[in-house]
Amino acid sequence: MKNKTVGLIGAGGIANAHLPAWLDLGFDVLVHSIADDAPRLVERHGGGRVATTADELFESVCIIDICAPTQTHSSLGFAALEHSIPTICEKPLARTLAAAELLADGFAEKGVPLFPAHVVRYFPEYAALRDAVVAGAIGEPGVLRFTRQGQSPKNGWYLDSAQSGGVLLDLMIHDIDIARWIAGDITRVFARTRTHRGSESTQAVLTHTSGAVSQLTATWATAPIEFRTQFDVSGSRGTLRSDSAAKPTYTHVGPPSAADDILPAFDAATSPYRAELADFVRSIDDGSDTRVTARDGVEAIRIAEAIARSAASERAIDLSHDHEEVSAA
Amino acid sequence: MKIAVLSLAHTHALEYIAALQRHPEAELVATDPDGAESPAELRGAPLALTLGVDYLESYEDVWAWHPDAVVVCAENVRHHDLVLRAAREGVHVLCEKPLATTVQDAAAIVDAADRAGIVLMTALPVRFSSAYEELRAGVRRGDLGEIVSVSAANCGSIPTVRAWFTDKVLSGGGAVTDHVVHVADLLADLLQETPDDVYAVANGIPGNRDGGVEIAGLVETAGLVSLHYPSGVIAAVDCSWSRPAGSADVGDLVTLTVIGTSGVAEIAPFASIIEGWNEHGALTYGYGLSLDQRLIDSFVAAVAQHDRTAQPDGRAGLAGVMLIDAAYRSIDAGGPVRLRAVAA
Repeated sequence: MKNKTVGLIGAGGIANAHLPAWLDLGFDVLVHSIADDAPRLVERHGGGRVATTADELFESVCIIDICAPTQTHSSLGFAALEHSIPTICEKPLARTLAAAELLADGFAEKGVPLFPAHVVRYFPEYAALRDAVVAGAIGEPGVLRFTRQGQSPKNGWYLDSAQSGGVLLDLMIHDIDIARWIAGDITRVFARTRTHRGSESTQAVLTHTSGAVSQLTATWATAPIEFRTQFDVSGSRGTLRSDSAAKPTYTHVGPPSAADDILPAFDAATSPYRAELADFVRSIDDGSDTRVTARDGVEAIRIAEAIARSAASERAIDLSHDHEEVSAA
Repeated sequence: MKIAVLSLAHTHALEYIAALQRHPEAELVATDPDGAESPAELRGAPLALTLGVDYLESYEDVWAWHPDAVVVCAENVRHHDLVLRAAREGVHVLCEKPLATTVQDAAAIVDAADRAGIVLMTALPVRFSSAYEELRAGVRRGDLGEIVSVSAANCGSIPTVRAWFTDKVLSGGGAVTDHVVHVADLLADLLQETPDDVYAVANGIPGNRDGGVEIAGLVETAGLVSLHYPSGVIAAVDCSWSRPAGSADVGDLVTLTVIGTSGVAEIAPFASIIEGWNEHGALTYGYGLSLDQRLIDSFVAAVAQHDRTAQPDGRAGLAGVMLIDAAYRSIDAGGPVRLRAVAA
């Protein structure tokens, strides 16, 4: 890759993880945000340059990195596609399944790489889980449990579920992708959602084609909790599990630092954000697949939409046929 | 006070006998006539001998002994007949969970106890956990604000020490029958309501070394249950027998996470363990007060005072059976089901 300039669109929460990772990978970063937060981001991380217009990016960069709010993913993605620029898009790939499919199809037809940033596949504990399961450590996956919880977001657009898709598309979409990665495709979902005074919990039960079952729990809490993720995966021969709160490699007591309550803690030496971006750069260079593909991003949204429909209708949603059917049970 | 342990089929009988032996006022006997069906397992008089408890040959011998109370530890399907007989004899009952294998049987048990005026308690010992009592007190005080949702797990190994657990005819079912009731009972007590909508899925993968989802003729080993309560609270429960045989006790037999609007609480009532290693592998030892002891203490006190309000009672047991029934109906239907109302 000769041109090593990335166009980062959006300067909010997740951009704080991407910008330092790009700089660490030796990229120059042009940051554009329609909000006024780009200069602050650049100053905070001591790198990158502010671009005042989006066109400035599209004309000069080799990779577009979309870290803007969910409802802009689709239009920004198509703008990048127009310029045939390989694009990494923060999850979810789009606000709706239809938009995600259009985007993925568009990139595929033009042969331009599109990479949904399902970063949890690059968190070392989840990668270790996948490797161990593939190696047969626990036999055939049978019952899986994934939990993800953090404080309710304070930003306006997150709280508007029409724009963000709520806790389902913000947090649970990660574990939807991981459950598929570990135990395969999904045939049926059932879910419940409770939104109460600013807290939001979604609990989903997935049935995999293999017969395995998964329970996903995602919570935005108004209570002052630490960001936390857990998994507990059992197969025919054993159990594997992890809890981000159980064995922290670093703990401290003292005043909280600003803006670190929306991202999970990670080890800088194995930064999952750096690993994720590096995987995309590698795949652009050598043409091979990334660990998570555009199709995976689309499938995660397909399942998420079924979960949303199940929660709204109080019915199980069958995904096993080409045309979805609502269970009559 | 004369107390008889009816059957040694459920291994909790061993814990209850040990707990009863700490009550000098209790004169104790055991009987295990059906133990002869399982010659490969240590049952009957030889087991009673190792436990240091007097043994009677038959249930009729027990009734002729005129006990004040009985502890029913038979195979699940046999609870109904034994409790109904105890009610006819006017004898107080502590019954192992689940109270019965059908809603009809469980309702008949509660009804018979009411008519006979006997104490009927269901063996749901997690209710006596200090961690749970602290959680309940905190919720009542409003420490958590309003409860939004709950996630819970009760995961253990397949109980292979007794073959009947995995024989549907005797047990009524597998992991869902065995494990969902503890958590459901805590939630019923904590929320002061019972669920109105239940969704469940199950498979036979955990422990199935031959591969595949079904274990022919056996019972489910994985179960996930999703509950909705009339107040709007939602709960997710993992009740699987998903721990591999030989798992070290890491104190997670039951866990409950309660998300409230102003606080989040988590309990692990069995987490009081010390851990270590020797040349053979992991070492774990539980410490602190046994929940079975607290259950037995409460039952003995209830019998002594003829206190029919002692908890968890027969209705708590019935609520558990209703939930199990709904979970199996949901598994069969492939969708959520409403909890069936029972005329009480």
